[in-house]
Amino acid sequence: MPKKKRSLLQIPQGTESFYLEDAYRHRKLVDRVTELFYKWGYLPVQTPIVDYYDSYRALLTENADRDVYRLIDRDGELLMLRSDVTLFLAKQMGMILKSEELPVRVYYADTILRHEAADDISQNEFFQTGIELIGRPDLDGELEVLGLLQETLATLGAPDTVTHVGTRRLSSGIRAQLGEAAERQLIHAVIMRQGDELSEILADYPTKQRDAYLSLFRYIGDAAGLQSLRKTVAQDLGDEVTQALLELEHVFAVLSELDLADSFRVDLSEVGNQPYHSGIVFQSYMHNVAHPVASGGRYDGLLARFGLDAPSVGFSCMVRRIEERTKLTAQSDRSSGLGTFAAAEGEDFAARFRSARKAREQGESIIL
Amino acid sequence: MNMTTATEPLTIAVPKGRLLDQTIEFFESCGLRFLFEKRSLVAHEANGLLKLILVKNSDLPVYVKHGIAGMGISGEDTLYESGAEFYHLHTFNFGSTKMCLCSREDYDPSMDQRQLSVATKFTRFARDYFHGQGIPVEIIRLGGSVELAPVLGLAPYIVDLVETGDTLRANKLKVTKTLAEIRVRLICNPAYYKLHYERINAFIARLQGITNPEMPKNE
Repeated sequence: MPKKKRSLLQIPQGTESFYLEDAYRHRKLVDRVTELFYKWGYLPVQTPIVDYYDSYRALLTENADRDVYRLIDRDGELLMLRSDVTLFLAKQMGMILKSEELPVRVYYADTILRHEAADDISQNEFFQTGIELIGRPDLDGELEVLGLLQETLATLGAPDTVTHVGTRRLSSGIRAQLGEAAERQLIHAVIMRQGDELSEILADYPTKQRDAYLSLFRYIGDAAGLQSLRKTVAQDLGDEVTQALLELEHVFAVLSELDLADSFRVDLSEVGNQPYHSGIVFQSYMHNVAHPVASGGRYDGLLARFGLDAPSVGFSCMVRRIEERTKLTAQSDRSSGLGTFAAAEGEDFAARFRSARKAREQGESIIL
Repeated sequence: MNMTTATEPLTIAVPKGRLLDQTIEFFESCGLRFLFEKRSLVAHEANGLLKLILVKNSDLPVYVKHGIAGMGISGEDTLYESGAEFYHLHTFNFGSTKMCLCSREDYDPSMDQRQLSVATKFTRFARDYFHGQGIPVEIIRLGGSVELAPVLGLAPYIVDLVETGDTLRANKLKVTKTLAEIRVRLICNPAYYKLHYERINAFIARLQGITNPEMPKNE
């Protein structure tokens, strides 16, 4: 096929365009969510679409580094397109905020660009909306973020979504003992629930401790099971692990008190897939969607890399993944009236214009 | 996407062909009987617990990754070539084979060039294996009848699955080295597992013969 024709018929992998009813529905959804964020006291931020690659290089996982689009500016500087709003936001906030302004609540709703293989279109990672709560070091921060996440998902039309909550702190003792490279391997093995690989990484640990870690990392369930695990297993793993589990127990106790616990599960295989995660982390799963629809957690050291040593916790929603699913179950756009407008009546243009103006004042949408 | 909700049967993609027969036989030994409709590519377990989706072997990881099927049964060779990451929930005791480096029976290794030349369907595996050994390799991708490559002089070596060795012998080829054991795995889309972990764990327990024969219908 001639190159010119191909470039007309497709757009680069990792981008998308959508139109008319789709675009209208998307904007309405984003409007509803950002209104929700504002009601919770969050203000908008706009991050640049492109920034210096070197600022983020150390914070990218191997996969993320592979998938970012890079370009070179006229001065020969290597740039990257925005592939994850959280990182770009951390730099902006780290550079402009002052510690006396904290806590600060911000939200964003922006497109992102990542390379996606041709057979990987199910990722649908084109648009992120989310929040950051900066300067809140205690568990009220996590609870605020989880509560807002739950309302956000409901607003996006995904009320049956389940959020699995775990903690990165479970692996910090292992990092201290085996080093950062081993911890990275371990985190991948935990996330992928690879029991054999985990056993191998922990091979030098006494059997009792190794088995304790294996029991913890495969646990998915409720807060009662978590408490039981802490009492029977975690005591062999030191104070850090016990404290991490107590934090989770507290979070689930409050969620339960707020009648929100049904939307959340304890999942100790959720340890966070970003190098900057530092505490409680979570991912949200929705029926009929092949990837998590939201993720987030605590990343206390991230802003310090950009000049502001402030704790931070937040989440990010993959809005297009949810939209793709919810539009299948919603009324079709045409039958619900979306995209079909009444026509103004009148003998000439001026009459139609006047009649349309009156109709719009009554709240109708009308075309001339 | 067509992943199940909590009340629908768990979905499993199974490759058509030899592995399907072995899978059905194994499932029956676990008390799971499937009802096939003529020419249909979907089969339901008699009690409505599972739904099998029959797909082409090489397409199976794509179906599971996109969530069309929540789980899948596949050889490690196909999984490796897909490059996708899945949960590996169970290893079956049937369908194992070996990934081997093969050459003509009369090939003299002293004829090897500086760069190894290998014809194969398994390009990702072959590249990663030899690079992992620090060996430069030229990979020639073939779609099938790989045994012809050394016979016709396309490449001195092939990397291919060897089960009985009959096809190799028929083409006067030999195994030079076994590169990996290839097993058949039950894989799962990670998001699907998170939503259905209780039923999936009960299903795996049943496959493993652990006394827990009742698979809960709902989470």
